[in-house]
Amino acid sequence: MKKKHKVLLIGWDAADWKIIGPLLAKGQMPALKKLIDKGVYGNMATMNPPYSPMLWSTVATGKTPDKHGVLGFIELMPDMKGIRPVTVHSRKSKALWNIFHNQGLKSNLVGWWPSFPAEPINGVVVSDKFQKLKKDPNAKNPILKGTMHPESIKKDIRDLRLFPFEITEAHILPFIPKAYQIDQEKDKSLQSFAKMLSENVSVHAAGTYLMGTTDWDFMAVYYDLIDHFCHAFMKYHPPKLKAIPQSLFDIYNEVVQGAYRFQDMMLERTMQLVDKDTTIIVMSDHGFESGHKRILKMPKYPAAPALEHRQFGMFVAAGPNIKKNEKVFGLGLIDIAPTILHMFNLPIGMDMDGKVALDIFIRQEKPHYIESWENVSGDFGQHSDSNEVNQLSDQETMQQLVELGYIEKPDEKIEIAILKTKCDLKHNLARVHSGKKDFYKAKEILLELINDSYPKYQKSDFEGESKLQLERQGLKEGDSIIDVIPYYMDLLSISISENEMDNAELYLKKLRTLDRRFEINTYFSEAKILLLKGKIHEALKILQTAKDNKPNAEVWFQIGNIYKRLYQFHQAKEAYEKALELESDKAKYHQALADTFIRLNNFEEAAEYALTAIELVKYYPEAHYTLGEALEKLGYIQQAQQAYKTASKLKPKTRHRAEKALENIKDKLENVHGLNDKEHYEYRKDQIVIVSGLPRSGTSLMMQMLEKGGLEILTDSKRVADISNPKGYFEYNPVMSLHKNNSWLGEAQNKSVKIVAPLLKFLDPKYRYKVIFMKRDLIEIVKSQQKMIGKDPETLPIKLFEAYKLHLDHIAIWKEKMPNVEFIYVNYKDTLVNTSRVAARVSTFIGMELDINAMENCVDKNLYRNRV
Amino acid sequence: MNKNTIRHNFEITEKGSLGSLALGDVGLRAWRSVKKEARQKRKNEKKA
Repeated sequence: MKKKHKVLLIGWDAADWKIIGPLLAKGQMPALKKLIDKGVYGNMATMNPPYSPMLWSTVATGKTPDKHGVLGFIELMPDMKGIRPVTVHSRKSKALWNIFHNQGLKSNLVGWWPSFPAEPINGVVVSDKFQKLKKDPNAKNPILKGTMHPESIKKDIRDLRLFPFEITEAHILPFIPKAYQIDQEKDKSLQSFAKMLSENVSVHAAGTYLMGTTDWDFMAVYYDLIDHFCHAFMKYHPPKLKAIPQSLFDIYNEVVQGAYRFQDMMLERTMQLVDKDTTIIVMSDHGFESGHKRILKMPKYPAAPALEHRQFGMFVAAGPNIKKNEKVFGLGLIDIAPTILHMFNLPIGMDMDGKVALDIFIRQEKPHYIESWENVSGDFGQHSDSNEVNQLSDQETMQQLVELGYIEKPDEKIEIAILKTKCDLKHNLARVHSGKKDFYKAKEILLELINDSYPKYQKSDFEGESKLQLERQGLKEGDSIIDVIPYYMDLLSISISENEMDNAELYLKKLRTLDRRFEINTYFSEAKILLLKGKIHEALKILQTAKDNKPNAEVWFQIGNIYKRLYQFHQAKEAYEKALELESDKAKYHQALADTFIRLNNFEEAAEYALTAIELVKYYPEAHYTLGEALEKLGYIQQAQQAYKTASKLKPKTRHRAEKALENIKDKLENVHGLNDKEHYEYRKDQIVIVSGLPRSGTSLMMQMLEKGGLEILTDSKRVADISNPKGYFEYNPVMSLHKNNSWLGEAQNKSVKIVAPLLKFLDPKYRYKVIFMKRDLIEIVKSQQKMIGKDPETLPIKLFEAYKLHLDHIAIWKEKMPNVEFIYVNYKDTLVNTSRVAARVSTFIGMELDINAMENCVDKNLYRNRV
Repeated sequence: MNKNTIRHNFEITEKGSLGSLALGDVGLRAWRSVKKEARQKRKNEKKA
């Protein structure tokens, strides 16, 4: 009989390498270790917002939540008259098992979130409703219609639900050896423990049953054990947090590790039940904070517990065509569905957001594509109508989500609960758009949310049971039922990202008015606004105060960014290193440090940090670019070329810097140049020749020479010749506001334009520049400037002198950083004394045959004044 | 076809264990069967 290639996908919600690593080292997760040894492993990048039903639906569809439609933990009932835990009806896209159904393959699905009501697929679905049981041991727990498909499977697995009241000390003590010390009257943790453990055992029992007794091609089993245990017990995980009483720490400090170890025991059993021809994938949707960022007091915002979710989850895969014991990089949740489709040699929908993770395969076959699976007609094992399940406002499930803190206790008044749900779902959609950098769509929704009018809490709302609940949230009569603060916070972030300074200030002001209890940290936003305004030192001051009050990695990172902007690279390096000490797996911190090492000419370190950034996030063009820079400087030209190529490919928008760097590398491979050489003596198509320097360094003189030499000059001649520049200034008015608008630079192609040195950094990287930088003795420059503005040329303003000196240093660094810039220094005095030699050099640099005689003849040596 | 019939090489007690729960369907059923037998035994002993 021909062997079938099967795929088993195991979901471990919130599993995190930070906990797994030490357990593997101690030999306490032997099953996962076995899988890693014969397979691949790596990080799994999550998405924003990191809410599990959204994320697992992305895993199943390969699409982002704006496309698949699952936008939160709860959904509106089809008749819009109530709310309920999210069901499969929210999902608008076909999942893997729907596609397999259409293609004649058999799937089993157990516990997937959301999977209720069970879809009528070819195979078995045991939905996420199966394991949810009432806490009351005397309550009846009938298996609801729609809990599984086919209904006939019910008789085989109905006894596989474990009830919380069945949990015994033999189950509790391995997790909580001092459970006898718990005062169960006051501390209800054991109840939660029993519920969470029994639910996962039920999922596992149904899963193992189906694995061994049914024929299947694809199987997916989802466990929430680690996530739920972490939400309940991570605060007690070592190292002990100051605010945690020693007595509670002593009781609960082993629970989180216990959850991982038990999950591993279940994996061991699962691995026994599959054949060698089965590919096993174990993955999580996000990680979980286990260090200093653990949150003890949750903010009151919806789904606040997701704040404890970490950016990286885990991924392990092993199977017949999977590489052995290799680390893989850059995987995202969106990549799982395309990768699994590819394993079955099925085409990937071009409307899927992810890619096939080809790196994990031994034999890498070219993926096939179709426009979209959504357009394929036929039977996909989906529900035919979504209105038949009105009985699903399941109180127990809602209660669990409330207890975990994922949702607030729904309001007694159903119309308020509906309104809040509508707003939450819209807000989540805006956050998904924002996460995809589609700020336009995100803003549209957020503006709608802040402009809507909402009912206010009335006196009657503060009567009875809800009084305490509302007061605990700091609410009072007259407050809006919908808290608009989160919407303003997102609008503020978007405005800052889009450099909309006025809007950012407006939203910040509004937030400060709304947040009367000053719970929100606004220092980041304030610092960013100040930066946009160019008030760098004020921004730095705010961040330093924030750092002194409560140091965190992001503050250090922002401080580093400011130092870098100030060209203070040693300070920037220190700040980034501090950020990494606090959070070692943030790719952007590694990338920032790599870039800083380039500026400090430490190219080996730069390459090292850039590589780590890429290890963490593969689709990171900036890190590939920095790696290219480092490798180029180290002399590994071919490898640098590869890095630049990757950087230029990775983003849909054009990576101008990477493309120009690639051209340069091509030159280097073809011609032997010194590594630091910024001169390529050849004409570049559509190049812009820039004459630059400090004011009074001879820029007008060079412009005049170029004009006479035959190069077209971009000037509007608005500034007329005067005694300081008797032959004219050759200026172009839009240059003055280059820092605000550089869109006109295209007009300068194949021409020469004068741009004063401080504005060079605002050049658009999409063009090629040949910069002729005029150098003149600084004392002469300052004297000449003093004279021009009617001041005593003999009084030398020291501060100005120092500032110019520093500025020239910055220019030297800037030119090295810009692959699209070729750069020569031309000495002013030389120009006057050895004019023909300078003219010839300039002509060669530009790569055009200029009229050297005409250039030489136009120079009036009598103009050389203020010489030292 | 049922592959879920592997033999376990440890004793299942009435109080159960994480090991038997980790075995999934067979472990859970085996444990419940042990519990049932123990209950029955006690019942019989009481009657006797």
